[in-house]
Amino acid sequence: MIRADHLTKTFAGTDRHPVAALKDVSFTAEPGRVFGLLGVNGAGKTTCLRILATLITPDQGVASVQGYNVATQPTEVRRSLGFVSGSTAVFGRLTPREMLACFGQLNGLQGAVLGDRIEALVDRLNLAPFADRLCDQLSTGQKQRVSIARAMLHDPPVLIFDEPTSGLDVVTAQTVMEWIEDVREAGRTVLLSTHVMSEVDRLCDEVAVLHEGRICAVGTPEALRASTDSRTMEESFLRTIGYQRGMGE
Amino acid sequence: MNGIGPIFRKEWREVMRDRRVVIGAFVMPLVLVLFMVVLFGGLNQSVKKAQVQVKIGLVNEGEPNLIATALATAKELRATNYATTALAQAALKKGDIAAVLTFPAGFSQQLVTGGAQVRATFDSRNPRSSIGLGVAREVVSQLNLASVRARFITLNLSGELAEPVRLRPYDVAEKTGAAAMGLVGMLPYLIVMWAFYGGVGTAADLVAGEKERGTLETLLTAPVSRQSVAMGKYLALVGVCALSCLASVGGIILAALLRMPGSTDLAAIVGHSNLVTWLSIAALIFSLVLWFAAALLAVSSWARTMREAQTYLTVAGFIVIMPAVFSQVISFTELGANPAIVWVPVLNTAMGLREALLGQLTLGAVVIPSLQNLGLAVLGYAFVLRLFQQEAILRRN
Repeated sequence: MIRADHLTKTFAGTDRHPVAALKDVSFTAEPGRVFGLLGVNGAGKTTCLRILATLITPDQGVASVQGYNVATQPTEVRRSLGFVSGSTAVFGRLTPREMLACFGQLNGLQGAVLGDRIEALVDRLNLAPFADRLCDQLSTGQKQRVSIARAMLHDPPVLIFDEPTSGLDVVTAQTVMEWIEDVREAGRTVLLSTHVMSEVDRLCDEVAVLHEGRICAVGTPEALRASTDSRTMEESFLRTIGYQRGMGE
Repeated sequence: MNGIGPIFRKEWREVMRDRRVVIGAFVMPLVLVLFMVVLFGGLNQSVKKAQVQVKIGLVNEGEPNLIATALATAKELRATNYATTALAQAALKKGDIAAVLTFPAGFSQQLVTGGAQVRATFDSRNPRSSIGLGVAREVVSQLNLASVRARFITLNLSGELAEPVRLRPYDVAEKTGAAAMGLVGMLPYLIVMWAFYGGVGTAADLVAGEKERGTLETLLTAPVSRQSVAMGKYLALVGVCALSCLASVGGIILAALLRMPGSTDLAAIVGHSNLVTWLSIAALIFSLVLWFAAALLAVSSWARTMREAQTYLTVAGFIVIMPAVFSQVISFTELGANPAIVWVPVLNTAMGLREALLGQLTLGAVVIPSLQNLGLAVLGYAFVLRLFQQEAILRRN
C-alpha cells in the first residue's frame, strides 16, 4: 500500500525563485489495484513518484510505502518497491543478466535463489535472446523489459511505473501493459504515472488528476467521466484541468 | 554498509569494458614510461658518444705539424682532413662535424717560437658544436700540458711543475648514469600524473555520466544506503588510479626486462633500494591515490553533466600537475632546500618519491605528505558523502 498525506515540495527554479512542484498532495493506492497519476508535463507526477521512491524528500507532509516512512525508513521503502521509469536507464556496459545479478545482490539475494529468480524473469519477460548482450546494444523496448525485470527481481509488493510506455512501439507497449495487468492480478500495489489516456482506461482502477502541483480530482475512471459529463477519459481529463482551446500554445 | 561489494563489482566490470579507460589509464602510462626510458637512455648514450668521439674537421693551411697529428689520433676526436677552410665550414653548417680547427701557414714555426694559434670555428646555435669545441679545447689543453711537461723534463725540472694545482673531483652519489638521474626526475612526475589523469575518464563517468544517463537514479532506488553507493564507486576509482600508477611502474620493470637503453642505470638505482624505501614509496603512492580518487569523485558528483565534469577535471588537472612539474626543477633552486616545501601538496609527494628513489629518504619526507594526502582524502570523500545525501546528487539547479 502507498499513502501520501499532504505532500508539498518546492524546488529552486533556474532564476533561483522557488517553484512549487507539489502542493498538499494526498492519495492512497491499495494492493491489487492500479492507481493512476495523471497530469500534463510538469504537473508534478515525477516529483511525487521520486518522493515515494526515496530519491527526494518532501518539504512537508508524510508518505509511506507498506507502512514504512519514505523520509525516515528509506532502505525499508526501497526494499518494498520496484521503480520503473520511462527513461529505461540500464547500465550500458553490463549485460541484462549481469545487471539483474547486481540488483539481486543489492536486494540481498544470493547464490541459487538469485540464479533461479533471474532465470525465471528472463523466461517470463522473454529476455533470453539478448540476456548476454551488452545493454548498450539493446533496443528501447528490450531495455524497458530489462528495467521491468530489474524492478521485479526482489518480488516487491509495490511497483511504481513512471510513464513506462514512453517511446515504445505498439507491440512493446502492449507487452508492458499486459505485464502491469499481471502484476495487479498478483495482488501488488501499482502506481502508474502516465498521460496516455488509453492506458488509464485499460489499466487504472482509480486515478488522481494532478495539475500545477495540486490534485484536482480523485476517483475511478468511470466516476471522473461521470462527474465531468465526458464520454472519454481524455475529455474528462481536459475538463478537469480546465483546458480551453489554445491553452497549450 | 552492505551493498559496497556489488556496487564495486558493477563499476569495475563497466570500467574494464570501457576501451577509452583501458587505453587511457592502463596502456598509455606503460607505453609512455617505456618511451621515456628509451628517450632518456638513448639520449644518455648519444651524449656519451658525443663526448667520447666528437667529429671535427682539420684544415692544414701550411705544412703538417705535430699538434694536427696528435689531434687526428686523439681518442676523444674523430678527425677528418679538409683541403680548405670553406669546405670544412660547409661541413660544419651541414652538421657533419662539430667544429673546425684550422692550422695557419707557419704554424710549425710558431710552435717553436711561441704564440701558435689554432683557429677554432664552431656554431653556437648547435649544442653538439659547443660540446665539440669544449672537447677540442680540452685535447689542445692536454697537448699543451704534455708539451710543457716535456720541456720541464728537458730542463731537468720536475714534470709535475707543469701543473702546480690539480682539481680532483669525488662524487658521493651512487655510480649511476645520466639516464637514471633523468628518470628519477621524471618518475615522480609520471606517477603523480597518472594517479590523477588515469582516473579522470572513469570519474567523469562514475557519477556525472550516470546522472546524465539516468542510471544513478536506478542505482539509488536499490535498498542500500547512499554511503554504500558512494563507497563502491570510490573504491572502483581508487583501483583505477592505483592501476594507472602501477602501469607506470610496470613500464619501468618491462624496460629493465627488455634491457632497453637506460634501464641498466635505472636497475642500479632500484638495486640499492631496501624494504623501507619500497614501503615508503607505497605509502606515498597509496595515500596520493586515495586523495586524488576522492577529489575526482567529488568533482564528478558536483557536476551536472559528464561534459561539465570533464571540463572541471581538465582544469583541476593543470592545478595538480603544476607542482609535480615543479618537483623536477625545484632541487636546482634555493627553494628546494626550504623546509616549508614538505607541506605543499602534490609537490611534497613527488619530492618524497624522488628522495626515495635516490636513497636519500627522510622520515618527514614520507610521513608528512602521506598524512596530508590521507587528510585531504578524508575531506574530499566527506564532500562526496555530503553530496550523495542531498537531492542535488541527481540534479543540481
